[in-house]
Amino acid sequence: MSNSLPDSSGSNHLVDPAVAGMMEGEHTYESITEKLTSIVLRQDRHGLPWWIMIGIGFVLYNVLFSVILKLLFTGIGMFGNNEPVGWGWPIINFVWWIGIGHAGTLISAFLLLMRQNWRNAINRFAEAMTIFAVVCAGIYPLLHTGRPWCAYWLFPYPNILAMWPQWRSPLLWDVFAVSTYASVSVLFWFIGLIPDFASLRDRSENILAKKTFACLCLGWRGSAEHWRRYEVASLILAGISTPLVLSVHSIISFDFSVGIVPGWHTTISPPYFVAGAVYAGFAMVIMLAVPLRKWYHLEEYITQKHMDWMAKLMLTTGLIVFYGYLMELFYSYLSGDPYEIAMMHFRQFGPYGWAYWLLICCNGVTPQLLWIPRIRRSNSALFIISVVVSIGMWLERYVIVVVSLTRDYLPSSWGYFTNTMWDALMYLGTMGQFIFLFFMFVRVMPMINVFEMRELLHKFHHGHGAHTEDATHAVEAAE
Amino acid sequence: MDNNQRFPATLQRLGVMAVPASVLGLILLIFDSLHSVQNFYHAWTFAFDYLMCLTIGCFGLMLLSNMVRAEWCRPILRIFEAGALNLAFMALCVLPIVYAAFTRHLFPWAHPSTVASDPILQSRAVWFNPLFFTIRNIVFFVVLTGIAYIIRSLALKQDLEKNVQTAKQIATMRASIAAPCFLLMVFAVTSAATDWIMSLDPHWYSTIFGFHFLIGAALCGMSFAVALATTMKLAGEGEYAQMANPKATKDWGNLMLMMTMVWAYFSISQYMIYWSGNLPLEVTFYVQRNVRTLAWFTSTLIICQFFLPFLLLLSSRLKRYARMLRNTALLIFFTRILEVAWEVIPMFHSWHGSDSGFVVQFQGGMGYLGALLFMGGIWMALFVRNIKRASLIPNLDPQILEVMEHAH
Repeated sequence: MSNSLPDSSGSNHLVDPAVAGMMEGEHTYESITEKLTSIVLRQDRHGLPWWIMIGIGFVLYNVLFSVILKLLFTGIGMFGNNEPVGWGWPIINFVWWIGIGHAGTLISAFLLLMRQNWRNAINRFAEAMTIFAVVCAGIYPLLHTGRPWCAYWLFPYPNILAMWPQWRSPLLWDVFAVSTYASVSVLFWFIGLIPDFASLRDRSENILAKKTFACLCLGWRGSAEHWRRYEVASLILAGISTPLVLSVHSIISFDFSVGIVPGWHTTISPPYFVAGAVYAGFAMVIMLAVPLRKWYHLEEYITQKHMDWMAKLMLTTGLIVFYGYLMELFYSYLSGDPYEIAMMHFRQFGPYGWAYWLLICCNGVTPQLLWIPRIRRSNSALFIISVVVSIGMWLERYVIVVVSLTRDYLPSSWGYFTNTMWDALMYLGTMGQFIFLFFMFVRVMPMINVFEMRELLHKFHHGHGAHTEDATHAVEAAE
Repeated sequence: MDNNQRFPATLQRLGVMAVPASVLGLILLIFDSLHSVQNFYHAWTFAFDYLMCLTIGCFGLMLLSNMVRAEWCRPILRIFEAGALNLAFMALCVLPIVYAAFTRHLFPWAHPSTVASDPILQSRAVWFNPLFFTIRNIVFFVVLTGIAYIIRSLALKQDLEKNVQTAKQIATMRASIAAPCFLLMVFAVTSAATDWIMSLDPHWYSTIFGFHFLIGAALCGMSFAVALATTMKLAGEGEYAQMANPKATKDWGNLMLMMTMVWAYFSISQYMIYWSGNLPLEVTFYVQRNVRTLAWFTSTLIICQFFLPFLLLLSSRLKRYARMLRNTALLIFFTRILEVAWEVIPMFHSWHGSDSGFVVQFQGGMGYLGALLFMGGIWMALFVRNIKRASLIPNLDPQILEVMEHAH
């Protein structure tokens, strides 16, 4: 890959190593804006793949509505949840979806604080992924309460029912952690979109679109003062979002680990849950990035270097997760605690042993292929590995929830869990919801951060030292 | 030799001071050991655990530096390398501990009558037995010391290389070796920390223990390197006068801040899970450390190991000034000694059912200080010798030129 990028005049500049490989081909500020905003402004940029995806999403989304409707009339007895597994698929799916969202926040917030330029091309759609994943996740605990219309009881408000939340329970912390996370993520996403909404406002020919984008960009004019405030707001929100990534999934891990259920009560849980969440999230980002860059011809923006970085991060977080599995195994046997040893034995060789070994294959063994540079450079291989990791991460939650609950301390409370058709349909339904919302987002909002790509081009021309304060020039040049 | 002429006075002084400190430590250790041979093993184990923390910190950060090849690590890479090479010395220091596995002085699992009456220890005997313990220690030190020497020799080869392309190839090779070695180190250190520290308590265990030890080691290694580099910068010695520029010190400060937060995160995770679970085998770890003098000790640790460094390192102004950063690094470095003492010393007495053992030991013995001075003095003298053997800043490194550019 060349380290030089020709500018509009055709002359070559020596590219700073900090931004090398993060954009390919010949670009000007104008061409970047044109290419990225046209995805929103021109219907002809959305071909058959978009229609197929939106169609699948729409059908499955309707399945979700149907299942929810049935649930409201029937109750959660239609799911496989029953004694001893009271949590079942709803909580498995909740943890799976909420985990997926974490990579988006990590890319947008943490990498911003770390001054990592490679985030620029992928942060916008990763943030969108976060929000839609949180929406999918939120549905499950809400419906799992059995009476979603009473969900507001979870909040501490003055009432005459003598109802007061149990503050010692991490389940209540979840309510606040997830709702804060969702609010901050939406705010961060929206703030980042404002300059691009302004570009869309200026470029729209359709009067309705123009007025809509004019409202959304909140009167953005691209003045130096606007940019200064934008930078401050972004940094503050990034500073708030980064600990939220840690706290949300740590609290979810406490849902399990503060209980003394064998297999749950383990101190590695918080970092291992957080790493698992980022791991699953990066798998989803890759699953989205591979088709998007092909269908919308974005290979010059989401380059092979981006894919390589994401693959390396997926490998790193995967290794942390695998370390967690091994530590659980090692210390369970070392503990000398008969209940822990029995649980670990049951996990491996009990009726759910297939799930345990499959998850080890999916999450522990398969990602080791990412050590090979040739595989990291193959998008098909990355896509397949990401699908395998996503399956593995779902299985991980299945093993945690189901296996431990079916084998408690008392043999009289042992049992076997079987899901119902409705469990599966609801899961498919939330996938449909995610696909539908994501491809609607691709249609109506710029999926790549336009002004940050222009800023990146500026860095190509003027070196890495030309940082955010110089973004103004890039924007002015484009406008 | 040109290197000697430019060798910083700070390091020279450290090397000179290390010898009398070591002699003084030996006297104190012998004096304390005369009372009881157990005192010797306790003091030795404590000093060994702390210095292993420092050595592993240097070793891990050396591997990380080779992997990421970022600007921040180049000026302090030689410090990490010199510290990592001390693994060979630590291999000698582990000998009394390995010997203790064959006697009844240190580990409850090595005490036949204790094992005979304890089903948990009986079930652990597959892992904790003198022979397997010895094999694990041999493998640990042979493998890790070998890696340290291979990486170091490649670094020196790169230093002497005149051709920039070949130097880059060596740098790439170092990165390729460092990544799997880092993974290996994580597993090896988890096992070793379980052996040296966790197994001092007959029943207690924690799955986060390996990670917790590793982040403590990283904090120790990083604060040591930063304290040394900033001291040399303040004295205007060698290339450090230029290399430890505000950009570099800011990066070092940010790294220490991140490590401090991760340390706190791991610590609070373990505490919350065990405190909520309230199971006798687990929560006793904290109960023991929340009584009498130890409660004050615990509070001091929380303040000096988390709140103070966290608040100080949040300030971007502090991170630009070498003097303030050095003081913060020293605070972290010395608080690490307190943490290892807090973690290890109560374990010597937990299997006797005594909560006050820690207090008794601290009142009774100068042995801990003696062992630390003795072992630490030799460690430091060897460190200075290691660092003298190469240029303080790696040559022909493309990133170095970039750092130098920023300095001007």
